[in-house]
Amino acid sequence: MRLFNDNKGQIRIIEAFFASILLLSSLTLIPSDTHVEDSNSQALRSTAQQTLTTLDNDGTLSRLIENRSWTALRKCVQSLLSPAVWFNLTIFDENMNPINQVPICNGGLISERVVATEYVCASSNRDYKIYVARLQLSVVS
Amino acid sequence: MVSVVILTTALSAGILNTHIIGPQDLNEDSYLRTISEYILLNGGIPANWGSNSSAVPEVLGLAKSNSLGRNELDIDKVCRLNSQNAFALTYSNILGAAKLENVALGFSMSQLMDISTILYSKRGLVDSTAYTFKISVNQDGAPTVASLHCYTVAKGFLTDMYNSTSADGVGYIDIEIPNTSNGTASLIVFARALHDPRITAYGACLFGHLSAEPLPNNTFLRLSPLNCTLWLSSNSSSITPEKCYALSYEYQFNLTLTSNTTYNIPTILGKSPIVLIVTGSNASTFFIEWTTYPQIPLEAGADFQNRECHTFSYVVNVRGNLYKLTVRLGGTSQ
Repeated sequence: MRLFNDNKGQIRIIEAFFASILLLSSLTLIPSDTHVEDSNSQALRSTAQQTLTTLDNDGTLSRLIENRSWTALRKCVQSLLSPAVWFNLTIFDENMNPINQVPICNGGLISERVVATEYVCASSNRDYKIYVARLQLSVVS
Repeated sequence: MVSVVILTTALSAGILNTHIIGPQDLNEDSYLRTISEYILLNGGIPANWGSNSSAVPEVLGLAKSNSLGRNELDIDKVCRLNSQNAFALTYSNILGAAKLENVALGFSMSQLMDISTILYSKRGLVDSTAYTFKISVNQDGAPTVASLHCYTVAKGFLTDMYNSTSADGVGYIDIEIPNTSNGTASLIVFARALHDPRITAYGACLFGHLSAEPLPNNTFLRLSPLNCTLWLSSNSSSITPEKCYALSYEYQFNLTLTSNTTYNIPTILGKSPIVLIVTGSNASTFFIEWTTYPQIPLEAGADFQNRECHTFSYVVNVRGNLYKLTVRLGGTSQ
Protein backbone atom coordinates (compact mmCIF):
# COMPACT_ATOMS: atom_id res chain seq x y z
CA MET A 1 0.00 0.00 0.00
CA ARG A 2 2.89 2.28 0.71
CA LEU A 3 4.17 1.68 -2.75
CA PHE A 4 0.94 2.83 -4.35
CA ASN A 5 0.50 5.76 -2.00
CA ASP A 6 4.01 7.16 -2.33
CA ASN A 7 4.80 6.43 -5.97
CA LYS A 8 1.65 6.65 -8.02
CA GLY A 9 3.66 6.97 -11.24
CA GLN A 10 4.96 3.45 -10.87
CA ILE A 11 1.58 1.91 -11.54
CA ARG A 12 1.54 3.77 -14.87
CA ILE A 13 4.87 2.20 -15.73
CA ILE A 14 3.57 -1.25 -14.89
CA GLU A 15 0.49 -0.57 -17.00
CA ALA A 16 2.65 0.54 -19.90
CA PHE A 17 4.81 -2.54 -19.47
CA PHE A 18 1.83 -4.88 -19.63
CA ALA A 19 0.44 -2.96 -22.60
CA SER A 20 3.71 -3.38 -24.44
CA ILE A 21 3.79 -7.11 -23.62
CA LEU A 22 0.28 -7.39 -25.03
CA LEU A 23 1.34 -5.53 -28.17
CA LEU A 24 4.40 -7.72 -28.66
CA SER A 25 2.38 -10.85 -28.08
CA SER A 26 0.02 -9.86 -30.88
CA LEU A 27 2.98 -9.30 -33.23
CA THR A 28 4.32 -12.77 -32.64
CA LEU A 29 1.04 -14.19 -33.93
CA ILE A 30 2.01 -13.09 -37.44
CA PRO A 31 3.58 -16.18 -39.09
CA SER A 32 7.27 -15.48 -39.59
CA ASP A 33 8.14 -18.46 -41.81
CA THR A 34 5.81 -17.54 -44.65
CA HIS A 35 8.67 -16.83 -47.02
CA VAL A 36 10.32 -20.18 -46.37
CA GLU A 37 7.14 -22.04 -47.17
CA ASP A 38 6.51 -20.03 -50.32
CA SER A 39 10.05 -20.33 -51.57
CA ASN A 40 10.05 -24.10 -51.09
CA SER A 41 6.65 -24.43 -52.68
CA GLN A 42 7.75 -22.37 -55.65
CA ALA A 43 10.83 -24.52 -56.15
CA LEU A 44 8.83 -27.74 -55.81
CA ARG A 45 6.18 -26.55 -58.24
CA SER A 46 8.84 -25.66 -60.76
CA THR A 47 10.47 -29.06 -60.27
CA ALA A 48 7.14 -30.83 -60.76
CA GLN A 49 6.37 -28.95 -63.96
CA GLN A 50 9.82 -29.57 -65.36
CA THR A 51 9.70 -33.25 -64.49
CA LEU A 52 6.47 -33.77 -66.40
CA THR A 53 7.66 -31.63 -69.32
CA THR A 54 10.93 -33.52 -69.54
CA LEU A 55 9.07 -36.82 -69.44
CA ASP A 56 6.79 -35.72 -72.26
CA ASN A 57 9.54 -34.16 -74.41
CA ASP A 58 9.91 -37.20 -76.61
CA GLY A 59 6.51 -38.77 -75.97
CA THR A 60 7.73 -41.03 -73.16
CA LEU A 61 4.95 -39.97 -70.81
CA SER A 62 2.06 -40.63 -73.17
CA ARG A 63 3.64 -43.88 -74.41
CA LEU A 64 3.99 -45.25 -70.89
CA ILE A 65 0.42 -44.22 -70.08
CA GLU A 66 -0.88 -45.85 -73.27
CA ASN A 67 0.94 -49.07 -72.38
CA ARG A 68 -0.18 -48.84 -68.75
CA SER A 69 3.48 -49.24 -67.76
CA TRP A 70 3.09 -47.87 -64.27
CA THR A 71 6.29 -49.39 -62.91
CA ALA A 72 8.35 -47.93 -65.73
CA LEU A 73 6.63 -44.59 -65.24
CA ARG A 74 7.47 -44.65 -61.53
CA LYS A 75 11.12 -45.37 -62.35
CA CYS A 76 11.22 -42.57 -64.91
CA VAL A 77 9.83 -40.02 -62.45
CA GLN A 78 12.11 -41.33 -59.72
CA SER A 79 15.19 -40.94 -61.89
CA LEU A 80 14.38 -37.29 -62.60
CA LEU A 81 13.87 -36.35 -58.96
CA SER A 82 16.17 -36.16 -55.99
CA PRO A 83 15.87 -39.10 -53.57
CA ALA A 84 14.89 -36.58 -50.87
CA VAL A 85 11.70 -35.73 -52.76
CA TRP A 86 8.52 -37.68 -52.19
CA PHE A 87 6.23 -37.96 -55.19
CA ASN A 88 2.85 -39.33 -56.11
CA LEU A 89 1.73 -39.34 -59.72
CA THR A 90 -1.88 -39.86 -60.68
CA ILE A 91 -3.05 -40.23 -64.25
CA PHE A 92 -6.58 -39.18 -65.19
CA ASP A 93 -8.52 -39.61 -68.40
CA GLU A 94 -10.34 -36.71 -70.06
CA ASN A 95 -13.21 -37.07 -67.57
CA MET A 96 -10.80 -36.84 -64.65
CA ASN A 97 -11.24 -40.48 -63.70
CA PRO A 98 -8.01 -41.94 -62.32
CA ILE A 99 -6.72 -44.73 -64.57
CA ASN A 100 -3.63 -46.00 -62.78
CA GLN A 101 -4.74 -48.92 -60.65
CA VAL A 102 -1.48 -49.03 -58.73
CA PRO A 103 0.02 -46.04 -56.93
CA ILE A 104 2.88 -44.39 -58.78
CA CYS A 105 4.85 -43.13 -55.82
CA ASN A 106 8.03 -43.70 -53.88
CA GLY A 107 6.66 -44.46 -50.44
CA GLY A 108 4.64 -42.79 -47.75
CA LEU A 109 4.11 -39.07 -47.40
CA ILE A 110 6.99 -37.46 -45.50
CA SER A 111 5.59 -33.98 -44.91
CA GLU A 112 2.26 -32.23 -44.69
CA ARG A 113 3.40 -29.62 -47.17
CA VAL A 114 2.55 -31.01 -50.59
CA VAL A 115 2.70 -29.19 -53.90
CA ALA A 116 0.70 -30.47 -56.85
CA THR A 117 0.87 -29.60 -60.49
CA GLU A 118 -1.15 -30.86 -63.43
CA TYR A 119 0.00 -31.47 -66.95
CA VAL A 120 -2.10 -32.31 -69.99
CA CYS A 121 -0.64 -34.67 -72.55
CA ALA A 122 -2.01 -36.37 -75.63
CA SER A 123 -1.29 -39.84 -76.88
CA SER A 124 0.89 -39.94 -79.96
CA ASN A 125 -1.17 -42.56 -81.75
CA ARG A 126 -4.25 -42.01 -83.93
CA ASP A 127 -6.64 -41.91 -80.98
CA TYR A 128 -5.23 -38.62 -79.67
CA LYS A 129 -6.49 -39.49 -76.23
CA ILE A 130 -6.10 -36.79 -73.64
CA TYR A 131 -4.59 -37.56 -70.27
CA VAL A 132 -4.05 -35.38 -67.24
CA ALA A 133 -1.04 -36.16 -65.08
CA ARG A 134 -1.13 -34.81 -61.55
CA LEU A 135 2.23 -34.86 -59.83
CA GLN A 136 2.39 -34.23 -56.09
CA LEU A 137 5.76 -33.47 -54.52
CA SER A 138 6.95 -32.97 -51.01
CA VAL A 139 10.25 -32.68 -49.18
CA VAL A 140 11.18 -33.03 -45.55
CA SER A 141 10.76 -29.55 -44.07
CA MET B 1 8.63 5.18 -18.48
CA VAL B 2 11.29 6.19 -21.00
CA SER B 3 13.15 2.93 -20.58
CA VAL B 4 9.94 0.93 -21.11
CA VAL B 5 9.23 2.84 -24.33
CA ILE B 6 12.77 2.27 -25.59
CA LEU B 7 12.62 -1.40 -24.69
CA THR B 8 9.25 -1.82 -26.41
CA THR B 9 10.41 -0.02 -29.54
CA ALA B 10 13.52 -2.19 -29.76
CA LEU B 11 11.57 -5.40 -29.34
CA SER B 12 8.94 -4.31 -31.88
CA ALA B 13 11.63 -3.49 -34.40
CA GLY B 14 13.23 -6.88 -33.84
CA ILE B 15 10.00 -8.76 -34.40
CA LEU B 16 8.90 -6.67 -37.37
CA ASN B 17 12.33 -7.05 -38.96
CA THR B 18 11.78 -10.78 -39.50
CA HIS B 19 8.49 -10.04 -41.24
CA ILE B 20 10.09 -7.42 -43.47
CA ILE B 21 13.11 -9.55 -44.43
CA GLY B 22 10.90 -12.52 -45.32
CA PRO B 23 9.22 -10.97 -48.39
CA GLN B 24 12.57 -9.49 -49.45
CA ASP B 25 14.07 -13.00 -49.52
CA LEU B 26 11.06 -14.26 -51.44
CA ASN B 27 11.37 -11.47 -54.01
CA GLU B 28 15.08 -12.12 -54.40
CA ASP B 29 14.51 -15.85 -54.89
CA SER B 30 11.79 -15.21 -57.45
CA TYR B 31 13.89 -12.61 -59.27
CA LEU B 32 16.94 -14.89 -59.48
CA ARG B 33 14.81 -17.87 -60.52
CA THR B 34 13.46 -15.80 -63.41
CA ILE B 35 17.01 -14.95 -64.50
CA SER B 36 18.07 -18.61 -64.40
CA GLU B 37 15.01 -19.69 -66.39
CA TYR B 38 15.63 -16.96 -68.95
CA ILE B 39 19.14 -18.31 -69.51
CA LEU B 40 17.75 -21.84 -69.71
CA LEU B 41 14.90 -21.14 -72.11
CA ASN B 42 16.45 -18.58 -74.47
CA GLY B 43 19.09 -19.08 -77.12
CA GLY B 44 20.85 -15.79 -76.56
CA ILE B 45 22.10 -13.26 -79.10
CA PRO B 46 23.47 -14.09 -81.60
CA ALA B 47 21.56 -17.34 -81.79
CA ASN B 48 24.61 -19.24 -83.09
CA TRP B 49 27.10 -17.98 -80.54
CA GLY B 50 27.79 -21.57 -79.50
CA SER B 51 28.92 -22.97 -82.83
CA ASN B 52 30.73 -19.79 -83.91
CA SER B 53 34.00 -20.16 -82.05
CA SER B 54 34.91 -16.48 -82.31
CA ALA B 55 31.52 -15.12 -81.23
CA VAL B 56 30.99 -13.71 -77.78
CA PRO B 57 27.30 -13.57 -76.89
CA GLU B 58 25.68 -10.19 -76.36
CA VAL B 59 22.89 -11.88 -74.44
CA LEU B 60 23.45 -15.16 -72.65
CA GLY B 61 21.10 -18.05 -73.39
CA LEU B 62 21.85 -21.76 -73.52
CA ALA B 63 18.76 -23.09 -75.28
CA LYS B 64 18.99 -24.68 -78.68
CA SER B 65 17.64 -22.40 -81.40
CA ASN B 66 14.24 -23.39 -82.80
CA SER B 67 13.89 -26.16 -80.26
CA LEU B 68 10.43 -27.66 -79.91
CA GLY B 69 11.12 -29.12 -76.48
CA ARG B 70 11.50 -27.27 -73.21
CA ASN B 71 14.89 -27.36 -71.47
CA GLU B 72 16.72 -28.44 -74.62
CA LEU B 73 20.22 -26.96 -74.62
CA ASP B 74 22.57 -26.34 -77.51
CA ILE B 75 25.50 -28.76 -77.43
CA ASP B 76 28.04 -26.12 -78.51
CA LYS B 77 26.83 -23.50 -76.04
CA VAL B 78 27.35 -26.07 -73.31
CA CYS B 79 30.85 -26.85 -74.59
CA ARG B 80 31.77 -23.17 -74.52
CA LEU B 81 31.02 -23.05 -70.82
CA ASN B 82 33.68 -25.69 -70.15
CA SER B 83 37.06 -24.15 -69.33
CA GLN B 84 38.83 -27.17 -70.86
CA ASN B 85 37.54 -26.12 -74.27
CA ALA B 86 39.90 -23.84 -76.19
CA PHE B 87 36.92 -21.67 -77.17
CA ALA B 88 35.44 -21.36 -73.69
CA LEU B 89 33.87 -18.10 -72.58
CA THR B 90 35.62 -16.22 -69.80
CA TYR B 91 33.74 -15.35 -66.64
CA SER B 92 33.59 -11.72 -67.69
CA ASN B 93 32.07 -12.83 -71.04
CA ILE B 94 29.44 -14.82 -69.17
CA LEU B 95 28.65 -12.08 -66.70
CA GLY B 96 28.54 -9.36 -69.35
CA ALA B 97 26.21 -11.41 -71.56
CA ALA B 98 23.97 -12.23 -68.61
CA LYS B 99 23.61 -8.46 -67.99
CA LEU B 100 24.12 -8.93 -64.29
CA GLU B 101 25.50 -6.36 -61.93
CA ASN B 102 26.34 -7.15 -58.34
CA VAL B 103 25.11 -10.70 -58.80
CA ALA B 104 27.50 -13.60 -59.25
CA LEU B 105 26.59 -16.46 -61.57
CA GLY B 106 27.79 -20.04 -61.72
CA PHE B 107 26.86 -23.14 -63.70
CA SER B 108 27.51 -26.79 -63.16
CA MET B 109 26.40 -29.69 -65.31
CA SER B 110 26.63 -33.36 -64.59
CA GLN B 111 25.37 -36.68 -65.83
CA LEU B 112 22.32 -38.21 -64.19
CA MET B 113 24.20 -41.45 -63.47
CA ASP B 114 27.65 -41.87 -62.00
CA ILE B 115 29.93 -44.67 -63.18
CA SER B 116 32.94 -45.89 -61.25
CA THR B 117 35.44 -48.32 -62.71
CA ILE B 118 37.87 -50.39 -60.64
CA LEU B 119 40.42 -52.90 -61.90
CA TYR B 120 39.22 -56.08 -60.22
CA SER B 121 41.73 -58.63 -61.45
CA LYS B 122 44.50 -59.09 -63.98
CA ARG B 123 46.19 -62.20 -65.29
CA GLY B 124 48.75 -62.92 -67.97
CA LEU B 125 47.96 -65.28 -70.83
CA VAL B 126 50.25 -66.57 -73.59
CA ASP B 127 50.08 -63.61 -76.00
CA SER B 128 47.77 -61.32 -74.13
CA THR B 129 46.70 -60.02 -70.75
CA ALA B 130 43.20 -60.48 -69.35
CA TYR B 131 41.63 -57.80 -67.18
CA THR B 132 38.41 -57.81 -65.21
CA PHE B 133 36.87 -54.47 -64.31
CA LYS B 134 34.19 -53.91 -61.72
CA ILE B 135 31.70 -51.32 -62.95
CA SER B 136 29.41 -49.59 -60.42
CA VAL B 137 26.51 -47.47 -61.63
CA ASN B 138 24.45 -45.31 -59.33
CA GLN B 139 22.09 -42.39 -59.46
CA ASP B 140 22.04 -39.98 -56.53
CA GLY B 141 23.89 -42.63 -54.56
CA ALA B 142 21.34 -45.37 -55.24
CA PRO B 143 22.47 -48.44 -57.23
CA THR B 144 20.99 -48.50 -60.71
CA VAL B 145 20.23 -51.35 -63.06
CA ALA B 146 21.72 -50.39 -66.39
CA SER B 147 22.86 -51.97 -69.60
CA LEU B 148 26.55 -51.50 -70.33
CA HIS B 149 28.45 -51.08 -73.57
CA CYS B 150 32.20 -50.90 -73.05
CA TYR B 151 35.08 -50.15 -75.40
CA THR B 152 38.74 -50.88 -74.86
CA VAL B 153 41.30 -48.83 -76.73
CA ALA B 154 45.02 -49.60 -76.77
CA LYS B 155 47.86 -49.19 -79.25
CA GLY B 156 46.44 -50.40 -82.57
CA PHE B 157 43.60 -52.14 -80.76
CA LEU B 158 39.88 -51.45 -80.32
CA THR B 159 37.29 -53.87 -79.04
CA ASP B 160 33.89 -53.65 -77.42
CA MET B 161 31.67 -55.77 -75.19
CA TYR B 162 28.22 -55.67 -73.61
CA ASN B 163 27.00 -56.51 -70.14
CA SER B 164 24.60 -55.11 -67.55
CA THR B 165 24.59 -54.23 -63.90
CA SER B 166 22.59 -56.23 -61.40
CA ALA B 167 20.20 -54.86 -58.78
CA ASP B 168 23.14 -53.74 -56.64
CA GLY B 169 24.34 -51.55 -59.53
CA VAL B 170 27.46 -53.65 -60.13
CA GLY B 171 28.60 -55.41 -63.29
CA TYR B 172 31.87 -56.95 -64.42
CA ILE B 173 33.64 -56.58 -67.74
CA ASP B 174 36.31 -59.01 -68.99
CA ILE B 175 38.74 -57.77 -71.61
CA GLU B 176 41.81 -59.26 -73.24
CA ILE B 177 44.48 -57.04 -74.75
CA PRO B 178 47.32 -58.39 -76.92
CA ASN B 179 50.73 -57.96 -75.37
CA THR B 180 51.95 -56.28 -78.52
CA SER B 181 49.62 -53.35 -77.72
CA ASN B 182 51.60 -52.43 -74.64
CA GLY B 183 51.39 -48.90 -73.32
CA THR B 184 48.51 -46.77 -72.13
CA ALA B 185 45.08 -48.37 -72.56
CA SER B 186 41.63 -47.04 -71.84
CA LEU B 187 38.29 -48.48 -70.91
CA ILE B 188 35.26 -46.43 -71.91
CA VAL B 189 31.99 -47.47 -70.30
CA PHE B 190 28.53 -46.39 -71.42
CA ALA B 191 25.66 -47.17 -69.07
CA ARG B 192 22.03 -46.79 -70.07
CA ALA B 193 19.10 -46.87 -67.64
CA LEU B 194 16.72 -49.64 -68.60
CA HIS B 195 13.60 -47.55 -68.13
CA ASP B 196 14.69 -44.48 -70.09
CA PRO B 197 17.30 -44.53 -72.89
CA ARG B 198 17.73 -40.78 -72.51
CA ILE B 199 19.57 -41.47 -69.29
CA THR B 200 22.86 -42.65 -70.73
CA ALA B 201 26.14 -41.86 -69.02
CA TYR B 202 29.79 -42.53 -69.75
CA GLY B 203 32.84 -43.27 -67.65
CA ALA B 204 36.47 -43.37 -68.77
CA CYS B 205 39.45 -45.03 -67.19
CA LEU B 206 43.09 -44.97 -68.33
CA PHE B 207 45.41 -47.73 -67.19
CA GLY B 208 48.87 -49.04 -67.99
CA HIS B 209 48.94 -52.22 -70.09
CA LEU B 210 52.32 -53.81 -69.47
CA SER B 211 53.59 -50.30 -68.81
CA ALA B 212 53.76 -47.64 -66.13
CA GLU B 213 50.66 -45.82 -64.95
CA PRO B 214 49.55 -43.32 -67.61
CA LEU B 215 49.91 -39.59 -67.20
CA PRO B 216 46.72 -37.59 -66.52
CA ASN B 217 44.35 -36.75 -69.35
CA ASN B 218 45.20 -33.59 -71.36
CA THR B 219 48.94 -33.95 -70.69
CA PHE B 220 49.84 -34.20 -74.37
CA LEU B 221 46.88 -32.71 -76.23
CA ARG B 222 44.07 -30.30 -75.56
CA LEU B 223 40.89 -31.57 -77.20
CA SER B 224 38.16 -29.03 -77.95
CA PRO B 225 34.97 -30.27 -79.62
CA LEU B 226 32.83 -27.55 -81.18
CA ASN B 227 30.42 -27.37 -84.10
CA CYS B 228 30.86 -31.09 -84.94
CA THR B 229 34.63 -30.59 -85.19
CA LEU B 230 37.32 -31.80 -82.83
CA TRP B 231 40.16 -29.30 -82.51
CA LEU B 232 43.55 -30.53 -81.34
CA SER B 233 46.21 -28.33 -79.80
CA SER B 234 49.49 -29.96 -78.89
CA ASN B 235 51.30 -29.23 -75.69
CA SER B 236 54.60 -30.22 -77.30
CA SER B 237 56.05 -30.05 -80.83
CA SER B 238 57.08 -33.73 -80.82
CA ILE B 239 53.50 -35.02 -80.57
CA THR B 240 52.05 -36.99 -83.44
CA PRO B 241 48.37 -37.92 -83.36
CA GLU B 242 47.72 -41.33 -84.87
CA LYS B 243 44.10 -42.42 -84.55
CA CYS B 244 40.86 -40.88 -83.46
CA TYR B 245 37.70 -42.70 -82.45
CA ALA B 246 34.21 -41.41 -81.79
CA LEU B 247 32.37 -43.78 -79.45
CA SER B 248 28.78 -43.72 -78.29
CA TYR B 249 26.44 -46.21 -76.68
CA GLU B 250 25.24 -47.37 -80.09
CA TYR B 251 28.01 -46.56 -82.56
CA GLN B 252 31.73 -46.34 -83.08
CA PHE B 253 33.59 -44.46 -85.81
CA ASN B 254 37.20 -44.11 -86.90
CA LEU B 255 37.76 -40.45 -87.67
CA THR B 256 40.24 -39.08 -90.19
CA LEU B 257 42.12 -35.82 -89.97
CA THR B 258 40.48 -33.10 -92.05
CA SER B 259 43.37 -30.73 -91.51
CA ASN B 260 46.52 -30.87 -89.41
CA THR B 261 44.56 -30.21 -86.26
CA THR B 262 40.89 -31.07 -86.80
CA TYR B 263 38.65 -34.09 -87.09
CA ASN B 264 35.00 -34.07 -88.16
CA ILE B 265 32.68 -35.48 -85.51
CA PRO B 266 29.85 -37.50 -87.06
CA THR B 267 26.28 -36.62 -86.18
CA ILE B 268 24.98 -39.57 -84.20
CA LEU B 269 21.25 -40.09 -83.99
CA GLY B 270 21.36 -42.20 -80.83
CA LYS B 271 20.72 -40.73 -77.40
CA SER B 272 24.18 -40.88 -76.00
CA PRO B 273 27.15 -38.66 -75.24
CA ILE B 274 30.08 -39.13 -77.63
CA VAL B 275 33.50 -39.98 -76.23
CA LEU B 276 36.32 -38.84 -78.50
CA ILE B 277 39.59 -40.74 -78.14
CA VAL B 278 42.83 -39.65 -79.74
CA THR B 279 45.86 -41.92 -79.69
CA GLY B 280 49.33 -40.80 -80.63
CA SER B 281 52.95 -40.70 -79.67
CA ASN B 282 55.21 -38.21 -78.03
CA ALA B 283 58.67 -39.16 -79.26
CA SER B 284 58.48 -42.89 -78.45
CA THR B 285 55.79 -42.70 -75.78
CA PHE B 286 52.33 -43.92 -76.76
CA PHE B 287 49.48 -41.90 -75.26
CA ILE B 288 45.69 -41.78 -75.21
CA GLU B 289 43.73 -38.59 -74.65
CA TRP B 290 39.98 -38.28 -74.51
CA THR B 291 37.15 -35.82 -74.21
CA THR B 292 33.40 -35.90 -74.67
CA TYR B 293 30.87 -34.13 -76.84
CA PRO B 294 29.15 -32.39 -75.07
CA GLN B 295 31.93 -31.63 -72.58
CA ILE B 296 30.07 -32.60 -69.44
CA PRO B 297 30.68 -32.56 -66.47
CA LEU B 298 31.58 -28.91 -66.22
CA GLU B 299 31.85 -26.08 -63.74
CA ALA B 300 31.70 -22.51 -64.99
CA GLY B 301 31.42 -19.05 -63.52
CA ALA B 302 31.62 -17.99 -59.92
CA ASP B 303 32.79 -20.28 -57.16
CA PHE B 304 30.26 -20.06 -54.34
CA GLN B 305 32.19 -22.23 -51.93
CA ASN B 306 31.14 -21.33 -48.39
CA ARG B 307 29.01 -18.46 -49.66
CA GLU B 308 25.29 -18.04 -49.57
CA CYS B 309 23.63 -18.34 -52.96
CA HIS B 310 20.38 -19.33 -54.61
CA THR B 311 20.56 -22.69 -56.37
CA PHE B 312 18.22 -23.77 -59.15
CA SER B 313 18.43 -27.28 -60.57
CA TYR B 314 17.00 -28.50 -63.85
CA VAL B 315 17.02 -31.69 -65.85
CA VAL B 316 18.00 -30.64 -69.36
CA ASN B 317 18.20 -32.33 -72.72
CA VAL B 318 21.34 -32.12 -74.84
CA ARG B 319 21.12 -33.99 -78.14
CA GLY B 320 18.48 -36.33 -76.75
CA ASN B 321 20.39 -37.21 -73.58
CA LEU B 322 19.44 -35.95 -70.13
CA TYR B 323 21.80 -34.08 -67.82
CA LYS B 324 21.47 -32.14 -64.60
CA LEU B 325 22.07 -28.39 -64.81
CA THR B 326 22.55 -26.33 -61.67
CA VAL B 327 22.48 -22.54 -61.84
CA ARG B 328 23.80 -20.61 -58.86
CA LEU B 329 23.09 -16.94 -58.38
CA GLY B 330 23.74 -14.60 -55.53
CA GLY B 331 26.27 -12.70 -53.54
CA THR B 332 28.40 -9.93 -54.95
CA SER B 333 29.81 -10.43 -58.37
CA GLN B 334 33.61 -10.62 -58.38
